Amino acid sequence: MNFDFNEEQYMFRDTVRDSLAEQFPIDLLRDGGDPVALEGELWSQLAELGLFGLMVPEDQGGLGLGMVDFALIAEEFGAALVPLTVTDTIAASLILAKFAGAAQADNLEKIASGDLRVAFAVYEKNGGYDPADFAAAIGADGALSGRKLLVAGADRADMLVVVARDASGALALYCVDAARIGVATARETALDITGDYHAVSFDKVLVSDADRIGGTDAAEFALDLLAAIAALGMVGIGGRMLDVTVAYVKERSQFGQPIGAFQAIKHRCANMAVDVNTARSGGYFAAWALASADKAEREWAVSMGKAKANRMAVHVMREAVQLHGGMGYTWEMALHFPYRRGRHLEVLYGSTEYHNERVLQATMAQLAAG
Amino acid sequence: MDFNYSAEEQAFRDEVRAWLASALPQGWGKTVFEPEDEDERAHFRIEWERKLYEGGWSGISWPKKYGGRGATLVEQGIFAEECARAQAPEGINVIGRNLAATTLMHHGNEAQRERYLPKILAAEEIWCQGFSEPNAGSDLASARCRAVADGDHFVVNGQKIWTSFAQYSQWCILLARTDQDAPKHKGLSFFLVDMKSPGVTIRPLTQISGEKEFNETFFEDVRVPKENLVGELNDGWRIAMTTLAYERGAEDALARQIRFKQELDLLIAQAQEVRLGAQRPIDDPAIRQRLAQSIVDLELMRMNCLREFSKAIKGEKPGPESSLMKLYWSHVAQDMADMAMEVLGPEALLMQGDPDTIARGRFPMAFMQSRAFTIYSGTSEIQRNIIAERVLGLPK
Repeated sequence: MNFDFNEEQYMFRDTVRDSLAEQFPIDLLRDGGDPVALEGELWSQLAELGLFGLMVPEDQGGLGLGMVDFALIAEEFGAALVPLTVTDTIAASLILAKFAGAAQADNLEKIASGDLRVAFAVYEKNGGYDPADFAAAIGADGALSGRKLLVAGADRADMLVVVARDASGALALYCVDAARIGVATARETALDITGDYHAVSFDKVLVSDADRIGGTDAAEFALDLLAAIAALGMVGIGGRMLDVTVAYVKERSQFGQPIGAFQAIKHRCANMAVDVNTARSGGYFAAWALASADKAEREWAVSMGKAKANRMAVHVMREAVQLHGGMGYTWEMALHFPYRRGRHLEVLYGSTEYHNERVLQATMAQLAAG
Repeated sequence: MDFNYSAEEQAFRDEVRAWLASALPQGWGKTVFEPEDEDERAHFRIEWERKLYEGGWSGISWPKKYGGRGATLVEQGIFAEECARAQAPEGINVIGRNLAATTLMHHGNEAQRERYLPKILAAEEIWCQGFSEPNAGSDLASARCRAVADGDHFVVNGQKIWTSFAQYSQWCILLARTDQDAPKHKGLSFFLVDMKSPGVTIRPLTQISGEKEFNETFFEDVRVPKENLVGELNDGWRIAMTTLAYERGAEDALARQIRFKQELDLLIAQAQEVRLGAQRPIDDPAIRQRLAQSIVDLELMRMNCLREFSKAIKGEKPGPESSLMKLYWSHVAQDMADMAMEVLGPEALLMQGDPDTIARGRFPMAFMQSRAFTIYSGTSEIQRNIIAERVLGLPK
């Protein structure tokens, strides 16, 4: 039993943090920078650090590390508003290695070298959060049809990882070459302007056996993985917002003293710190569960981590804006960028209510089993 | 990072479980319960602590030379989990074990450790805490209880309040003023006071729950030998901060978490038993959400504790960060106790002894008791000050 990271994991985190600090995109975004262009610059920088190969097996040119090693990095990515194309690609490497293995060796090598962009195509209009309600499916003709929403960077992705029903009606996970005939993307107008999101239509897209990553297990694992990475991203955002707010209230002076000396402000900052600390415990535990737990414990852990991160992010971001006063409401202060990203992560990968219900069901099953 | 238990840890768990099964009476937690009378219950708990000691289960992570087992905090945590699983009685000497002993390990001299620690473990000597005063609550550093040097002794005069278990205690950790002229944080000293000393009187206080756990304690010309001073004269505030860090810290919180989890499990079971007319509480989506939120909150309380344990095992000393733990768990547990009152229907109002009560009246009693969580060992407002000023670095 050990709930801590090792020295190497902390050192790697620090390296990534320092590297991202040089290119923290908020200033650039505020000044009208294009998130797509920013992503391009960041991509090569991250590839140099070997980040895309973090969870790619060594045989395919990666570092062969796991989700626990990625946890602290995912948190940094959240804090720095790294585009979701990056985390999608890294998430895909874990899924391909775990479920497809050698069959996807070429793609894994490309991911490791930073030469393959992956986008996850999961959620649908009127589909909610439960994959049982998703409509995308392989038809009798063996072709994939459906429409997915909020797919990050879909217009320049090389590969789309798609949650869809197979011909037998079972949930499955596919990887589809984004250039394939029948795939069409349309840029969406989304709350989160720190990245670009697209609706992706699949109109009788041919898929082969080789495109099938796995069945229900793979699809469910993928959803849990994305939820955990989102939770860790929110923890990163929450931590950054706490730091930024604490720094601001130390500086900002009213009534002849820094506003951070007023208890009305102090106590709200303390509540933020408690929330961030606890959401961090939840996010780390979810990461461990993805790496090491059985399915039941994994779902329980991920949903706890995501539910708590959701509540924390909503609370901490609201307080961050409030404690910045009028400045917090200005475009110039740029708090709205993490706020937008935070809500994106909160709403997209399972609402608090959705994950709460999963936690309750898992807990009742545990109790019934004694 | 690894949440799996090693073979040794698993073997330890098996050993604890087997011992508990043999040590607790037949039917424990199902047909046999703790005495209902508060005083009888206190003595029952003291007896249980002595039984634990005789079985070798006291001070699991303490050094062997003070009577402990020399094991890790992880094993300490396993032990607490197994006690909860078996619904074993709580100990009563928490102040001795968690506060007096930990403080002596950091700041006591060897003679003090050898004198006091083994008897704390054996539950031969029960301890209480003389910190708060009627006019020094949140502003603890303004304590006025005085200790004046007189030959080989200090003479103590003053009043303490909220002294839990004083009526069962042989010893008291006392914060008293030894320099009237110094700034308030610089004139306090930390003493070990024999509760049998002439001049010590206690008066029980009745709590909102109807229980009489805590007291007012009066010191009138109480002579305390000089060897009972802990650390340096006038360094008591710094030493008391160690005490408080343990009082608010992970070891304390983990033991509580397990009790809260038992209560929540009981609530989830009752939510499937009780009827609210045609449906059970568990069938109501709004109630399901509230139960789930408490599950998440309580499990993460455990995760917070385990993260702190791992830091402690690495050698990090407890500090103001412990206020993050205490502020979190006190509100989470209070919210849960509130929620329990709101999801079980009218019968939730019936206390122990009533024929229509649910779960022997546990939930209304827990509701009343939980009001104390956000007040004792530093109110939430004080915890927030500590976090803001000492963890986040905001100006005083």
